Amino acid sequence: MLPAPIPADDEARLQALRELLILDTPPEERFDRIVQFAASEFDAPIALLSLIDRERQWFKARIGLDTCETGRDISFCGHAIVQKELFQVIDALKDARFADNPLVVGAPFIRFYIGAPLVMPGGAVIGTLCLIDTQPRAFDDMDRAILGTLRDLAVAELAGQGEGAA
Amino acid sequence: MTARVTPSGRLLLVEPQFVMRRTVSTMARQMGLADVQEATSPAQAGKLLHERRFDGLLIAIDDEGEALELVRRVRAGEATHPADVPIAATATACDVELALRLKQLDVCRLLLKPFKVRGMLEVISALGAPGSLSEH
Repeated sequence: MLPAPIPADDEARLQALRELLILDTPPEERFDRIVQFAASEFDAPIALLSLIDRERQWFKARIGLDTCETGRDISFCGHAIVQKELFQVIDALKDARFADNPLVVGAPFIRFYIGAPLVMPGGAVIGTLCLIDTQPRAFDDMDRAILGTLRDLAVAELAGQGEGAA
Repeated sequence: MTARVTPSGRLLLVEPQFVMRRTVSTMARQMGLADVQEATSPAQAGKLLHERRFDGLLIAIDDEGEALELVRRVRAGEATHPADVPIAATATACDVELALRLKQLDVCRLLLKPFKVRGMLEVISALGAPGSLSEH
């Protein structure tokens, strides 16, 4: 397993995340609705709004997963935040970076992952809006565009520029 | 019906659910399908129809009957808007009564829930095409 890399600007990224004062806060409907919509739109068993803290990923909104956090080192989202484009793993069992990952060989038995990085207006990548499936699956350009648009809605809410996802 | 939604055309999207409405409008603009104006309710849509001309209307049918009443007013020329604007609808369900009513009102397409963003975009893309009431 390849542990999630630590980006060079991680301290500044963590500072931007903490300034949002959102870690360990209760669920909020404006985020829950985006994640619910993403899970429904893509028929995905798991959808998450994941924020990457120093040593963990914490879920501000989640569908299909009981736990509210996992270790950062084993997180797929930890890989996704080192780039600004969507990060996709078609079949984790066939990907050397993830084949023996505890989240792949054990619950929730991830096979497919795609994460849209949450790039804040200042440029910090604080987490992802991501979809997970227990089966490999295809995700075409239209799907990617829709996920990117949903990610933009989430970023607007995080940045205080949203409309409450009413 | 001669009007047609084009990339430079203006579509009025009446959809109460924010995430669906904003995602569809953003995608439609990005894909060059139409310049989408959003309305959260038939009442708001009625005001927008009064203020400007649209090349197409995609409206969510509500339980209160306000959406059908707005479509009726448009078709009757009571909405200070060209009555022949192409109209498509979304609905949670459709029985014979609703299907007949939509046909009477010349609603050219109906999309039934649960529908996806992709389906909404397909309806927007096809909104200007002549055709009879069909379900997707």
